[in-house]
This record gives sequence, structure tokens and C-alpha cells, in this order.
Amino acid sequence: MSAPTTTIPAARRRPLGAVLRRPSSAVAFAFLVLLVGSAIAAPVIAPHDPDAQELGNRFAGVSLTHLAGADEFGRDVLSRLLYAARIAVTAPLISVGVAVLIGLPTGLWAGRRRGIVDAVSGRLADTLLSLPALASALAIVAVLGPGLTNAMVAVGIIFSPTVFRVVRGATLSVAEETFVESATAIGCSTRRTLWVHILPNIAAPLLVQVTILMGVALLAEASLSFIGLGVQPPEASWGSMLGAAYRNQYDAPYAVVPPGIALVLTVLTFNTLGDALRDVLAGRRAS
Amino acid sequence: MVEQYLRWCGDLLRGDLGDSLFTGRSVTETIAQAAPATLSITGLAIVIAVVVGVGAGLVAGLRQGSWVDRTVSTAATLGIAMPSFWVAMLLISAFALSNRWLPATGYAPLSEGLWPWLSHLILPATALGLATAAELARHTRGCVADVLVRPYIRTARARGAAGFWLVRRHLLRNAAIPVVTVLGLQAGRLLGGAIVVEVVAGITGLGTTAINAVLQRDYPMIQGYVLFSAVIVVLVNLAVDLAYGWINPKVRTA
Repeated sequence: MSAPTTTIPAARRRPLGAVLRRPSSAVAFAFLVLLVGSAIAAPVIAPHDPDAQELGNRFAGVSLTHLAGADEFGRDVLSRLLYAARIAVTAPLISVGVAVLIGLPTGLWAGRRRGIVDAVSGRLADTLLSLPALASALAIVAVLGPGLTNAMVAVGIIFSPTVFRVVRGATLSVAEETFVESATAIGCSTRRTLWVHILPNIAAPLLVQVTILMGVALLAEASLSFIGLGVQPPEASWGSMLGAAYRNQYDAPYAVVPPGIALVLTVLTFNTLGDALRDVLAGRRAS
Repeated sequence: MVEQYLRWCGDLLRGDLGDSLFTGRSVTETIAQAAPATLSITGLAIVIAVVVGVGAGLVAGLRQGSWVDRTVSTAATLGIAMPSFWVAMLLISAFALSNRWLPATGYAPLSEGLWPWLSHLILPATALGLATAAELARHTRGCVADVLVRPYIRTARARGAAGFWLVRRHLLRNAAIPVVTVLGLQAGRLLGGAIVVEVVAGITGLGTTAINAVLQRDYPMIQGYVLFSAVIVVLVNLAVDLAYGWINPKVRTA
């Protein structure tokens, strides 16, 4: 008989290590580090002020001074792309943060208390989920007013039933475990049971959902900024840069390419990491 | 405020959603005028998504591990990550601006003929349907892979069923349930995506109407739009539930 430790797969001990051992997710992780790095270092590495206008340089092509050309006000596209990376990182965090803030406590509560609380909050989540996401986001933005924070809070509210469902489902299955039963039996308060015994065990599915929602939130940010309800000028996000490129597509047909590629690569990164985490953690539960 | 809400509900039952604060026209009338364009785009997007997605997923599932399978997986991963309005911009720039094969903007109702209608819609609908096609391709491939290892497929093969017959008779029906489910979940996403794709394609539909309503804080209009979208999504999901019974006789009695 072999020692039990040798039968535990690597994924069980080090889930993050197992994720990074896949080539695709290692590349995705490297890109994420690069993205966050350039978002933080944007003021240092950007070759120009992102808002500095040089009207003589309108729609200037690629050159040594403007590595990615200039936009309709002669602003440096590369610098704007780098500054927009800040929004690409922070905007989805706002939405996901709001969604977790609403979905996690309600999900825990519904999953632990069951009964009428569960039934009511479950129906409410179903109702919210049956509304088309972007349509409800528009309605919330209409009430809050346009702007990046408002738009991302709206998206977060739309996401909250999804987080609620994941948390509730995971809580229900963990609550059946013997260690939760024994914790209750030795007199742990509900709060302590939730915090110490249940929360660490639902962290994995929550992490997977949050990673995938980051990508969805970024796409939502781009859509809302594209139609002018998100980021307000002169600030740039990849979505609002695409909006400007659309309005000037006869003068600068290629301006739609760089922000779009940045957007696709970033969403791809979140999706790849989310899928890898799900596979690794699913394998861990199966073993 | 409660009275205001109850009055709105009462008017709603009579089909009256109030008047737009901005244009003064009835909300019901405005939606009825804008809806055909939006429903045409989303409908065509669903058709494209089903044909491309299920087709690609089926081929990938039947030829697992081949280059076709790998290409489909890569394309599906990319397709899910691409914002539909960006794809619409690229398609319009390639097929309507650089080469003037198709009209770049606008909408022609079906009453003006099939080709004018289709030629205005084909690019935005392709862009809109791409992500759904990618999602469907993934699910179809997974289902085909699951079904192929079942004993009844081995039995069917042993009886000599192969090729088209095997796919039609034994695979499609069993793979259809999850695919239809995904389609129901995608309905809301497609209506939402249509908002932005309409802007790119210069089509006056529900989406552009809703954006203007938000910018003008035209609340009755927004309420009407959200309500109408929700009704569409609920109807699509009702159709999905009915489709379950049609696909799988086992659930019919339930």
C-alpha cells in the first residue's frame, strides 16, 4: 500500500500551479501580468500625454513618434491604448465587486436558511435573469445617469443573480457535509459556521465564476462606452476608442483594429483562465 | 407612487404603455415600428448561429482530434471573446466600404423584397450570431462526444447504421436538447447585442430607440423597451420548453 500523499494529484495540493502548467493558461497569465503592469505603469511608459491634442497630426499614420498613429484630435493612439488598459482592469472589478457584494451574502443566506428565504430570493433571481442583460443595464444607467462607474455598477447588479445562484448551489452541497453538521452540533454560531466552515469550501466555484464574469464585464463596458453611456470623453477606454473609430471610419479605416485586438486578447485571457480553473477544480473534486 | 404604478399596470393591460416624453408619440406605436428591424436581425442571427454552430460542432464531434476539430475549437474560443459590434465594424468595412458588394447601413423591410431585406441584414446578423454560433459549436461538439460512446450507438453501428443515417437518426435528436437550452439562454444576449450592432449598421430598431431614450431620460420609452424585451425572452424560453417535448417524447406527459 502506498502512502496516501502520493495518490493525491498535484491539482489537489496546488490548484494554481496546476492551472499554470497548461501552456495556454500560462500564456494567458503572462498576458494578464503584462496588462496589469502596463495599466499601473501607463504614466511612465506611455510615450505621450493621452489627452494632448496636435490637430496638425489628425489621423497621422504609424511613425516613430506615434507608434500606433494618431486619432481624430491628433492624440497618440498607443498612449491612449495604454491608459485605457487601466479601465480594462478596474471597470470589470467594479462590476464583479458589486455582484459579489450582493450575490455572496444573499446566496450564503438562502443556501443555509433554506425555506421561505430561499424560495423568495430564488424567484427574484430568476426574474432578474429572465431580463435581457444589456437591456436592464440600459434601464439602470437611465436612472443613475451615464458614466463609467454608474454603467459598471449597473452591470454588477445584472451579474448578481448569477453569483447568487453559484454561491447558493455550492452552499447547499457543502451544508450537507459531516463537518458542517458537527460544527453545528458542537454549538458554532451560524455566522461562524458560514465564515469558517462553508466559505472556504465555496471559494473555488466562486473564483471560477468571477474570472469568467470579468471577461463578460469587459465586453459590457466596451459596448456601453461604445454607445456613449460608459466612459466619458476625453478619458479613453477600448470601447470608446472603437466608438471614435466608427465615427471616423471614412478618414481612418484602420483605427478599429488596435482597440479591438486589445479587447479580444483581454477577454480571451479571462476566459482561458476561467476555463482552466474550472477544469482543474472539477478534477480536484472528482478525485 | 403606488397609485402611479397601478395606473401604469392598468394601462398596460389595455396595451397602452404611455407616451414618449420626448417625441410625444405613443410608446406602443414606436416599439411596433422599431421591432421588425430588431427581430429580423436577431432572427437571422439565430438561423446563422444554428446552421454554422451546430454544423461545425457536429463535424468536430465526429472527427475528434482531427485538424477540423482543432480549428473549430480555436475559432469557437475566439468567437466567444470577440465583441459583436467590433466584428460588425470589420465586416462592414470589408464587404460594404472597401468592396461595395453590400449596403453599409440602413434597413429595408421584407415588403420591399427578399434580397434588399437580406442584403442589409446579412453583415450585422452574421456579426451578432457569431458568439452564439461559437457557444453552440462547443456544446454540440461536447454532446456528440458524449452520445458517441453510448452503447446504443455501438448497437446501431453493429446493425450497419453509418454516415448520414447514424447522424440523423441517433445523434441529432440526442444532442438537440442541450443545444436548444443554450439557444434559450442566448436569446437575451442576442437582443442585448443587437442594441450595439444596430448602431454600427445604422439601423433604426429597438436598440437605437432604447439608447436615445436613455440619453434623453425618456422613462416611459425605456420601461416599454425593457418590458418588450423581457416578453420576447420569455416567449423564446416557452418555445424552448415546447421544443423539449417535440424532441424527446419522454417529457411530453410532464
